[in-house]
Amino acid sequence: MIRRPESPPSWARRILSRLGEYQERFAIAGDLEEVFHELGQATGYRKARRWYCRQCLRALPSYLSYTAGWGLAMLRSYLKTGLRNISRQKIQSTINILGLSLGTASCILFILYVSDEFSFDRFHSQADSLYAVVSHNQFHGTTAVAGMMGMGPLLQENSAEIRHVVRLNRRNQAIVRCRDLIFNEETIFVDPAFFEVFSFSLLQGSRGSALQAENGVVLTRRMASKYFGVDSPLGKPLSMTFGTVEKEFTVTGVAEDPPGNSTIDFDFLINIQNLREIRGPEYMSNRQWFDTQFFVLLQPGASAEAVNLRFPLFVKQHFKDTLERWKETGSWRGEGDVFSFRLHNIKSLHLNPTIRGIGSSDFRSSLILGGIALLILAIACINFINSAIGRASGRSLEIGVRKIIGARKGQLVHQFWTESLLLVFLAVGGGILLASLFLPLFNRLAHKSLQIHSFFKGVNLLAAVGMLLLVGIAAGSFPSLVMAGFRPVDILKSRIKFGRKTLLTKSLLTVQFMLAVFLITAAFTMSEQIRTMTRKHLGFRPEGVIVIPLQESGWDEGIRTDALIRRFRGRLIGRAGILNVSASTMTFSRLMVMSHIKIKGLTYDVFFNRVDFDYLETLGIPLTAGRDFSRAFSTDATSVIVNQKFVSRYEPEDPIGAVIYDAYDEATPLTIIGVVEDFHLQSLEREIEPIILHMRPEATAHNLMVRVSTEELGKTTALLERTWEELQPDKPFLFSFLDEHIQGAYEEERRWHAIVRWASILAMAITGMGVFALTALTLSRRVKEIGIRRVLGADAFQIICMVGREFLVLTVVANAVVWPVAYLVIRTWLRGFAYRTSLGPEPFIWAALLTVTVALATVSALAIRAALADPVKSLRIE
Amino acid sequence: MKKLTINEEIFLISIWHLQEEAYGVRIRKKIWELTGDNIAFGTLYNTLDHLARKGYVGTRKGAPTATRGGHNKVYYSLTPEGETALHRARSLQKRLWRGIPEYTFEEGSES
Repeated sequence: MIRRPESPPSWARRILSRLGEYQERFAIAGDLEEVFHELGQATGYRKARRWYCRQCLRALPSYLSYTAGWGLAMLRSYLKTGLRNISRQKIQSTINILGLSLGTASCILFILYVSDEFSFDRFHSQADSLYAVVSHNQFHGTTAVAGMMGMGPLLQENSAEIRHVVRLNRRNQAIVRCRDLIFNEETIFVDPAFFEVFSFSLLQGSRGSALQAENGVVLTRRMASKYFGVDSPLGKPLSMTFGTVEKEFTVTGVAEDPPGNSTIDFDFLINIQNLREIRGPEYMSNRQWFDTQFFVLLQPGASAEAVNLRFPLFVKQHFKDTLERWKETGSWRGEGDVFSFRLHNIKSLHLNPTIRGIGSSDFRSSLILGGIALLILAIACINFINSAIGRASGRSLEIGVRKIIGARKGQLVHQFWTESLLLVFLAVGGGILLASLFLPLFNRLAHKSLQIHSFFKGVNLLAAVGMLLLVGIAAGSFPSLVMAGFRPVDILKSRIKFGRKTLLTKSLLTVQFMLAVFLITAAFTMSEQIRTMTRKHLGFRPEGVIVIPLQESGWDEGIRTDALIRRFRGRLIGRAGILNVSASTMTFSRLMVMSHIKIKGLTYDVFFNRVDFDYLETLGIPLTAGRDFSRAFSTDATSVIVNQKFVSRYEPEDPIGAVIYDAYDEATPLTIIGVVEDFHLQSLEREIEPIILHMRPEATAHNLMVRVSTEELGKTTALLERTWEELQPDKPFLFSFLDEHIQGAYEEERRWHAIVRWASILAMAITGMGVFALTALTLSRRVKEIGIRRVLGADAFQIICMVGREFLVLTVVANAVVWPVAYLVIRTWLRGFAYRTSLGPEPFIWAALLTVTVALATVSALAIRAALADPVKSLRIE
Repeated sequence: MKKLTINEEIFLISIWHLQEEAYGVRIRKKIWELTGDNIAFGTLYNTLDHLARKGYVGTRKGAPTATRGGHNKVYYSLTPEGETALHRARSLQKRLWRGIPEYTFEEGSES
């Protein structure tokens, strides 16, 4: 620090000279320096420095109060001028504020989205030591929160670190009956410690004992009001039917609806011991089915790593039989154990897209949304900067006068910043309003249940204030830094020319158009892709097929549906409007689960679909070789029909009569009796995969498929409902059209398309507003010029051309620059789809047309007015 | 014309003593010599400002020097108003003390 002992400390010197500057007393700093040297020579510089610092500290309070006092006074002046300027330039200010409001609104929505994503499962008070047991299956290559029911007690025995194990057994469809109400509901079987481990709030009942009783049920508030209205449900009876088992329950608790940022969603919670009766005692100790979710609460301070290290041994010890079985059947011949476990903290569960079955989300969607929000904000900021540049000439005189009166550059900079911050502040108010207005729409698009009030807390507000400052400073930096630096003489002598569009304005406008063009092309391609996927011939005729689920829980082998299907068919065939009746496990979905077969000892991937007689006819799938399933052949229980993909991939020679085996059941040979044309059973995002249609008695077809004639649909559905009530009087009648299943598979694409479409509309609208504001400014500067041109004989059209030409050039340049980039990005996106639209020139042409039209329409609307104005009037003004 | 305060009087007298050499550091030193008070620079300049506003002193800028870190000196000098004010103060003092014996308020005299 003491490098130059003969001079005072620089920080103190700076403060003192600043103080001098404020009071116009440079002499004081000089005096201090002189005394400093005198002291230094007399008593040594160490002492002198100390003295100097003391002087400085003594000056500090007066310095601060002085600057603060003037700062406040100046702030008031800045605010006053700012408000005057805003109210003077009504159109400009409105456009600025509206644009920025839209920009901030989109950013607010994004902040809400991201903070929701990141707040997932953090509301559990013990979240730090709350872990999910994640299993990884090497054979399927899948990771999921899943374990076997029989693992429960073993886990706790195995690790002293584990305080509680809570099992969640989902996918239990129950028919719930209460008073005269019957509904199909999903119930979850859980361990009684559920409410001690998770922090879901319990409105009625006790946290410790609500789930202790085997016949107790805890329902959510929404379910309580659905079944009991305003009455208190506590202690009321409720009957539930699981498959064939009907049980009476008593409501022992009412829980608050799980929040939107919870991975665990539930409506009915029941003690897990009930499964013993419903699924049988073997089920409770089974070490085979990965169908139960495990959550463990560790002892405070215990490390998850310690538990993880013990898992490999744990698997070898307790799951020997299961591992052996995988090896024996030859399904798994790879290195190591076929499955493994690992603890995964609940807080990071949601943002891990590799974990299946818990609705986890991809962080990339947050990034994309953030990108879109920033794009819109950037476009709005550009409007802001452009209008500031445009207004510069009007204000240059003001700057000049201010400078001559004695304003320092710093003060002018502050004034401009205050003004832009004022605008931004207003815009943020507008943004919050707009955001709460758009929130319902956004919630629908983003599949969330966000609420605006969650924006007003800690981190969010901090982010918003940071954003506000950033936008204000960014948007206000051009006028403040550039214009404040002008020399007053130049301004007053009008040596500096404003009002013309500078290179900066032009390039900023081009950037705006580029962003808009990008979003528009993306939106158009997305809609093209969705159209391609929904319009493509699927290999069957989905229209007019009604799907009636016979039982919801997919894997429950308890109920045989064959008899039911037979009865339905018997009652329906021949009735008016009914063309065909069949059944199938799969309808149409986004993604299906692969299964495996063996041909000549080799394992292959394949989809199994359990169907019923007349499946091909009902769906309209044409046979290319062999025959359909037939009641005349008693062997058809072990017969299968494959699609052409199967033939082309696995069995090049004559397929009819070939024998294959289920990889999990090698005792039964399956004979191929027919080949059908390829048809799609899952989203066109995926390739067609080899499919096996079979009618094996141990599998069940869950969905009744009825082809109906499209005339008098109402009568037909009424007939279906009547038949249902006769055959299944105690179950709710649900039906849907196969078309709806197909549309449902593309829901995600549709949502993204809607988001991008809205973003491009916003981008175009804000850009349009910017063009409008800029044109209005230029035209107001050129009133005289236009008047003279008119007098000299220019007609309105020529004037419009003159004004519009520049914008036309800008839009064309923007389009040309962005096309290659957009092309590359869109092509990458399309690669994710097996069946994609050909990326033709249409989206680009549309984008160009839209931008040019919007730009020209805005410009000419204003230009026409200017051109048609009486030139005498405009020239007479002086 | 208002009467001078004792502070103003001390300042003006110091400036008069220093003649052509009356600038911040010197004035401060002079005051110390005359009164034994070590006043802060803030007080010094506030009073000088005050005197200048009242028109008792005039200012003149000197050349900047290296020992002063490149800042110029500001020299102060008595204006005719300042001289008159001092003159009035002196005669007032004389009038005030007239008839009071020299030893009256000497230290220890009250006891």
